[in-house]
Amino acid sequence: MSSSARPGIKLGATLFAFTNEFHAREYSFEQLLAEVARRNLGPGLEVIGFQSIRGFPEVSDAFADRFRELMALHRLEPSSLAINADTYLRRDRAMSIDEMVAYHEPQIRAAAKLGFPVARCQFAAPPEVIERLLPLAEKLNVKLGPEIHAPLGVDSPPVLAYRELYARLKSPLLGFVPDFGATARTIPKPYLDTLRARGIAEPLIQTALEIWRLPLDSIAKRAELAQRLAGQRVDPAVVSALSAMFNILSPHPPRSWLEIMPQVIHVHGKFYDVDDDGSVSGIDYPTLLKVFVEGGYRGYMSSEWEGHMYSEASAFDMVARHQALCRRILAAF
Amino acid sequence: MANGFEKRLLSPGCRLTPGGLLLDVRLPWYRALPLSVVEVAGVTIDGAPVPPERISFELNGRRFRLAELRELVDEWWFVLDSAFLHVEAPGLKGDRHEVELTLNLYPPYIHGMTWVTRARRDLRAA
Repeated sequence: MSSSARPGIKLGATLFAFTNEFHAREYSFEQLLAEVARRNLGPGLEVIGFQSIRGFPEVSDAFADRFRELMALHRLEPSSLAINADTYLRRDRAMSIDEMVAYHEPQIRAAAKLGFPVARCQFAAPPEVIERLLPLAEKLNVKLGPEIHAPLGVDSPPVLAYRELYARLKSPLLGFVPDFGATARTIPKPYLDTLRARGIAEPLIQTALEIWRLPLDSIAKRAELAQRLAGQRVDPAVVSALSAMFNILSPHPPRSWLEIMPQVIHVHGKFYDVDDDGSVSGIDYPTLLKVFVEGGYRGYMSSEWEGHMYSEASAFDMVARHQALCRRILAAF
Repeated sequence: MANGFEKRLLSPGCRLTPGGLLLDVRLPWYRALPLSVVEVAGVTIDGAPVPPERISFELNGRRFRLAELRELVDEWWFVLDSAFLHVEAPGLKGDRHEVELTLNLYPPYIHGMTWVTRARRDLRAA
């Protein structure tokens, strides 16, 4: 590739990677920011509003001032504020479109108040919701884009519905946030090993893996698993543990991202582990990064370590290893 | 999912009380959730289930009956905070008991998912 087409992918981290350090009360929010900066895991910084900010989506002036001060102090750059479409806040019914719009508005205002250029949204909100939020996004100059996360891929029905909306509205503020876990090769072995370590029988794991490879959405995969296990008296906690794999990774082809590349506003560099030889198991980074360089993506990719679900490893180490791998791959272009 | 929150579900602050147990419970999820999607699916003491009406749920300085949780869409459980389960167990004898808690979450943006977390802890009289 010529030097004029240098990769425009910038690296950063999401605080989601440090869920264990934060949840275990080992690092406060401010200490996480300081350590991310000290270990040079930025400059991009992504935050999940409902994880890091008490009282979210309300953000006080004092919090916003302090956040901006810390970003400057640590030379970090806000990349994306992850917001949520909590459609089933009531378990027995979905929010109406009006309720969803009202639920998103303060979250988008929070993104603007904290200096985030992107609000990562979720497909739990249908396209009408984003369409109605566009005037606010324009007023605040915040980009909106749902995350294309497993089990979805670029051609899944909810994504296609958004693509149709975007074709009609043609707004540079509307896009997508690809998560590399949507285009995984397989479920990483360390993840399967944790299921084995819980004493889950191998045939149950293999049944779940077979279903994982099927071209179904996650609700259908869960239903399929429930059906195949019916009559076996499997503990609901085991079914829950097994069926989680349907929502964390899916096997869509890496090159499929090219279909939506001009609308990519942020990227989640999902990974579960980095081997000692520096490669990520289950997710093909050399191929994925090549696709994004080829597609001309310019923007941040948050290193999103999700191995904290089962691993006690230091998230700071894992993110550092992931970024070293990405730098090495990108340097070759 | 390998559920890494199991090990923190029941905090070291759990203890026997004169009338039963006090459980210091952490939210087994990465982000704040309202109590409407939290369900105390079961508490057992030495293997025996405790009737739900003998358990109350304390969060943010307020105390609720378990049956009330479903309606509490505006009562948020922040990830760093403990909730407390007050468990009445009159007549509990001895100074050492094993408690088990099963807590279900219904993540509000993942329709159809029940996130089950279960943990046990040995409690001794102080």
